Amino acid sequence: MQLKRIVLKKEMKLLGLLLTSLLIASASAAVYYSLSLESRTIVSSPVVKFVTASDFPGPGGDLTDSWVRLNLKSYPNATLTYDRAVNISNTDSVSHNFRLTPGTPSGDGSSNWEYIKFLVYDNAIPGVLQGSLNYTGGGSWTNTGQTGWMTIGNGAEWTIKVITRSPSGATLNAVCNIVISVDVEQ
Amino acid sequence: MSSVILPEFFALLGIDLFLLLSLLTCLLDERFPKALPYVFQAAALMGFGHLLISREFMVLFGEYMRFWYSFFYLIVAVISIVAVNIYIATAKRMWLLAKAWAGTVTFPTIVVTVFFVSNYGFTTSVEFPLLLLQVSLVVSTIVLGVSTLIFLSPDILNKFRRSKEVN
Repeated sequence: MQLKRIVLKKEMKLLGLLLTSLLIASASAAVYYSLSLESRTIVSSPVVKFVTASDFPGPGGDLTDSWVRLNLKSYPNATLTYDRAVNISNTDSVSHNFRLTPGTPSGDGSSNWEYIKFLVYDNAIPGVLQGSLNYTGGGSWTNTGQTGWMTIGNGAEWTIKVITRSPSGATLNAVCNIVISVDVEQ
Repeated sequence: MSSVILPEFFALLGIDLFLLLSLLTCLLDERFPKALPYVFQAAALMGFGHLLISREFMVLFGEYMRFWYSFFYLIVAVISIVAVNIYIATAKRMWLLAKAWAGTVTFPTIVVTVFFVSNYGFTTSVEFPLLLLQVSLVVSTIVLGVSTLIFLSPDILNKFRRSKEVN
């Protein structure tokens, strides 16, 4: 009877240790798995990136691989066109899809602008519009919404043409800031 | 390019070794102090905490430091296994159990540890101190020499024991 009690005691002890061992081992493995997920994030230069173009508005403008600021002008009652405001280059060995996503303009009143248009062209086939994003001023800002996916081939360079126009009664030195995201499918 | 295994893998391996030790010492509880399985469980639990801290401060610590503290934890686990082996052989004088432990636990553990550490060192170019290599070479040579001697003339062990008793 006493021997049976001793064996039972040992079994219970082993079972308890086995359960806590399983718990510790599985929790540790889960933490290690989450660690391995975290450490796979590698900072690298973008393969689809902005590059300067012939009409890049220099003073006040800024350009890095993944970010660009265009310091554009707009004239009252006249249309101003930047034929090649900024280029988008695919430096990868495979083609990529990208699209433009509009942000909400900030700054001075929308009545100072008639429109600001962003037109995307493939440099290899000029004149053929690949996509467009148009902002219309007046009472309030409206836009044509996110563009469809456009496919840029490997080693290809595309350009963004910008057309601006202000009404005759626009306030001089009025400023508007527009953020446009370029989403690239990897 | 990042390595296939992370430095924390050694901590994970150390945790598993402590858990193994805990279960084995529980199975052989009449030969060990009663608290020993729980001590090893606590050591494994500490390793788990160690992994959590490593996750939280991953960027701050850097890969070099993470490797060395994980490696140290694994070394402690391996030393515990060897220490238990020595305890069985010397304090308890259970030669058969000590030999079985060496063949089934100590040796495979050391082989697995050396395999993963050398693999990691190869992929990430971690430079181990030259002294470590020299010491391990000397220890390996001594173990190999003694083993060969005992294998070729088994009586030498008995002669050695008898001469100690006479003295």
